[in-house]
Amino acid sequence: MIVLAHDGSLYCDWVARYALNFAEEEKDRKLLALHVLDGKASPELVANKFAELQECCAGQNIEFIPQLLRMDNSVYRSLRHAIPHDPEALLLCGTRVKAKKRTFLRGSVAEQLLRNRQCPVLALRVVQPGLLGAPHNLLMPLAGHVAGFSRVWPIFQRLAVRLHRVHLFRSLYIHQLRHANLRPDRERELLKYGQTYLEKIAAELEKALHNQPFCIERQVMISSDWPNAVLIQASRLKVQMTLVGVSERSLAHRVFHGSGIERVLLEAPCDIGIYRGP
Amino acid sequence: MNQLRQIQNLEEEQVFIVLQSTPLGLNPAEAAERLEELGPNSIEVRDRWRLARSLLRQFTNFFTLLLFASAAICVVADRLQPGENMMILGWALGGVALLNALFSFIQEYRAEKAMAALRQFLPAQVEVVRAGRDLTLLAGELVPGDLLLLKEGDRVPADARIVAAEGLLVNNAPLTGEAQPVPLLAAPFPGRLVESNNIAFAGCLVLRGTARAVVFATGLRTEFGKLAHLSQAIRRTPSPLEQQTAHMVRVLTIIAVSLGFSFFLIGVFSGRPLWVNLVFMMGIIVANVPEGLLPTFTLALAMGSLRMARKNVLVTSLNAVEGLGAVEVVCTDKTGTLTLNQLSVNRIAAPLETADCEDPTFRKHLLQLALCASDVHLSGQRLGGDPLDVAIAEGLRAEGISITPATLAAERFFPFDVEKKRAAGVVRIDEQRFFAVKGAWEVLRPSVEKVLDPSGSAAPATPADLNRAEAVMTELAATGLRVVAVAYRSLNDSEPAECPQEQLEKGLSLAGFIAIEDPLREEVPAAIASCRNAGIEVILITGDHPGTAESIARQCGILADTEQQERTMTGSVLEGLSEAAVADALAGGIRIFARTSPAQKMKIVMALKQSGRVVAMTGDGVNDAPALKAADIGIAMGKSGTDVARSAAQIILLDDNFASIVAGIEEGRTVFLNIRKFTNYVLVSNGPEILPYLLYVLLPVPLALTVIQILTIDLGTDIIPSMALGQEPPEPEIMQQPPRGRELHLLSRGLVLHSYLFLGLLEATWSLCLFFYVLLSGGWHYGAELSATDPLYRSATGIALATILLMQIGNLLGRRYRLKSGLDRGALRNRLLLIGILIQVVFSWGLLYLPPLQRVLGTAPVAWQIYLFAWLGIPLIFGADYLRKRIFLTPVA
Repeated sequence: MIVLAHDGSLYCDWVARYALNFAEEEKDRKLLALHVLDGKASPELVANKFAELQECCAGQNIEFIPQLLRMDNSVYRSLRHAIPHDPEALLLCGTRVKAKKRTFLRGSVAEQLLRNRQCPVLALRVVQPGLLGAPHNLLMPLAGHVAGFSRVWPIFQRLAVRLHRVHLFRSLYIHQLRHANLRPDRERELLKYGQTYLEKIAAELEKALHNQPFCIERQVMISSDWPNAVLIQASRLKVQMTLVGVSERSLAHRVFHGSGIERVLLEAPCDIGIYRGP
Repeated sequence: MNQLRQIQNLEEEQVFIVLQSTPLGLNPAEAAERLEELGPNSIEVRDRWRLARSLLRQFTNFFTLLLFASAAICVVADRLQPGENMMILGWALGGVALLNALFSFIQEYRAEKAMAALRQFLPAQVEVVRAGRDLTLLAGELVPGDLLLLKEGDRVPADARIVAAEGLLVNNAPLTGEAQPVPLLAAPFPGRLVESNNIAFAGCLVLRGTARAVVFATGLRTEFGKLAHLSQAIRRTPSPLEQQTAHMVRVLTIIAVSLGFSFFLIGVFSGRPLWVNLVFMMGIIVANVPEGLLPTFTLALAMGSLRMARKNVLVTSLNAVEGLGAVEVVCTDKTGTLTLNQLSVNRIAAPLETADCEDPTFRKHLLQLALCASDVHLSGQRLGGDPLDVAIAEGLRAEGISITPATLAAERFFPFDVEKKRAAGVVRIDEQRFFAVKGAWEVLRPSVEKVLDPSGSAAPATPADLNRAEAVMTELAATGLRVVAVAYRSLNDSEPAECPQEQLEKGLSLAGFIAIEDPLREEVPAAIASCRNAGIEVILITGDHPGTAESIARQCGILADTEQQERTMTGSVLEGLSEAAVADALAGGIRIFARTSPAQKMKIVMALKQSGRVVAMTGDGVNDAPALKAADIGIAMGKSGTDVARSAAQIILLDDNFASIVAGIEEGRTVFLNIRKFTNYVLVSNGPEILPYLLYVLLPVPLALTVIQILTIDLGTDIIPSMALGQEPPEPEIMQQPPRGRELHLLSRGLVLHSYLFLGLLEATWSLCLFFYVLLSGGWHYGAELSATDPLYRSATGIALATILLMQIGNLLGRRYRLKSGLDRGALRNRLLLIGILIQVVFSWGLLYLPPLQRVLGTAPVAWQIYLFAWLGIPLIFGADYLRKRIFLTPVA
């Protein structure tokens, strides 16, 4: 089942395109749309949007389940009660620009939902509505966790059916002062290390998806600035979506290193999907 | 599976639905909401702190920090013990540090000009429909869902899906690099977004017609925006020289600081006053740091860039001067770079015969059909348009047919499409209507059903005929000719010309092949041979047929005539490979990329860089900009290149000629070699500067050289000779050695040992010998203290300094040639060298015998016989170094 958190905005209509495409591939072909009546969007507007969604679902043979939720203490709490405890389900929500246009995820409902463990969550920033939620080229930056991409798997397998090309990407962090003075042989060693990791992931992918319809590319980059590395790769490879994993960071880390994910969201050259990393 | 699920796949009315717009456009409130959510339609990556960060970075390198620290110590020392001129010294050191940092900042700032050139591709204002009204808006206010009005002469401000079009023709050169116009329609397109003929891409120019289009991507999310983002965000990797300089500065800083600190501690424990220890620590640091070296680097690079400009190689970033010398692989275009880009018809062949057909009727007919699928403009008697099309028209002229507006008037024309690899047209020849298509044989072959023989009759094409035609084409291509296949079919008067190209292309008859010659530049084979000798690989990247590319590669020497190994990869194969696989293929010997698109250059650059090689890449189009920036050295074409390519590149070839690249490489290698020479030269004087301090701290002897005297050498007399070495012409064997690679350090162990422990020690020993000789002959005895104003002490330091200056002349002459004496390079060939020698001579005399100089430097005269002894230092150091060369170094045969 696909669960869509819809705030009644135009932006969520774009997110809904992904939800529709995902629901079409679900075994139960169900789309649960949740809207919290927080007073920001009029009930009539929401009703109209749900009616349009209903129509699209009917056209694609998807069972549409709309739910208007009463406001609890917060939008997040209201949603949490309605989200099914189902590891097979996938919750989709949008990440919209916040005050002063500086943040997208921090302090948002999407951030709270990503912490939720009732089901896998995908927070989306849609900047190319023309793709209609069906990206063909995907960039997957991987941080090198031992767990591989188990966390992203529920999302990846839903995207996979429409993909033509997947770029696995590993940005190897190195401090800027060291980067400027990196010896060529050390650089080669690092690149090889990154490639070996990605080869392992690619092999896992090929094993998990027999006869996958897409081809897998691997890119490794040494960088002192991972958000910049991800953005460069996204532009260079002309990908239509980037799937980024986020982890909880300490306050000290945020103070000293800033929030890379916010920069990726701000300068996104393509749609960005965010999932909870290991 | 999902082919029909993106914007280009939809019917016109669906486009409005999915983008929540209407044929009356968005209403202002909706537009404002979208603008708030997605931001302005701008391709600029906003980074308010970029300049500040760049400036700060210049002040954080080791060298600058060290100079500032030394300046601060001087200020402290001056406060503790006034009257020692330490404040002046502090200002001098601070000034050098500041100048170095500001110079580097200006360099970096000037290099970031690509953005201004890119901005010119987008309009400032656009016409849109909002709430049913036609409005003129700032392009930045455009949002997805806006209904855009396009007309002739407009630049497209954002990626937009055409929903209504009348005769719309656009130039997609900024994205595809292909100058041929492309017609756009409103109908759904079944393929990929980037190949769609119903999408107006940002940055492209409307050549003809009008259209309404719904915006679906703005700013950095447009295809042009991605290009712009890359052009701004890719940080060029430090050039080999930058890496070498950083390494050298690190090593020198460690040496200077550890020596200075050690002697500071020794001084503290031996009970000397703190300020004396501080001053000595600073003295040792100053003696170790070659203060004048970095400004001289910059001057040498600037002079190198001037010499390169004389060879038609314009350098936009000084580091590229030397970077070009480190190049290990050159990726080059063919047309215009290896060849003259002067196309002419060389051969006209019937479908099944390789020989040049001599039947004038056949030749005229084939050329007329080809002309029908060409875009040629007549201005007076001059023909304009794509060089290949013009060559066909000229060929027809040569057959006695005059080219008039009537000859060129086609009923319908389908411009060349880079993806389809063909152009077509409908025309009337001798009262008969034809649909003709010209292009790559491999794309026409599936549509060919008949084959024309020279007599003019068409017979059904059997598989054997098609194979034979392919063999003819391959044979022609193998001679280095660009081969264009021409096919046609007759049309009845009742058949409409308006139907889609694909429909007209059914049941074609192959009319023949036109082989076009683009002569190789005369100087290219020698330049390629020079690259080969210099261990530089040349990789050819072209849109031509593999046969043509291979033939050209053999003619110019990229491939040896005898080579049988597979050396060519086509664009379609390249598309399907990962970067790692491309790197493997390159390691396996691939040297030619044929039938490639400009966008694939980036993949080739990244694959080459993966293997750690220093890569130079040529390019001319807007879409070459990312590859030019990603390469270690981006080379843009000065004649045929776009502003964006020129801004992204570090090198601009003023004559578009490959041979100029090789001349530039030779100059770049010379610059690096010269930088090593004067680094070696400058470090030699560090020996006699350091040793007096060591002796002073360890033994009860006077200091042979004061800090001011050290700075006189480092920032005074050594500068002109260093510059002179920076101007030395190339050594004959410079292009017979392999590229030095990234591993070779500017400050190698051999150079350090040679500078400090051989020549430096020699200079130090001779100058100290004369120093102590003057002291001893003046009545000084071991352990006695002398004040700084004592005439005996002043004479002794004077002769020590004069000896170092004179011995630097012998050092200078020896540095001119790595393998031979240095005198054999011609004394008068380098005038700056003579000036440098003159300065050393005059200064060594002046500091001893001219009162004003004596006062500033704290020196006094010595007997002329002793001064003559100082001159003996020149043959001593020169001779010792020459002996080393003779014994240890072998000249290249």
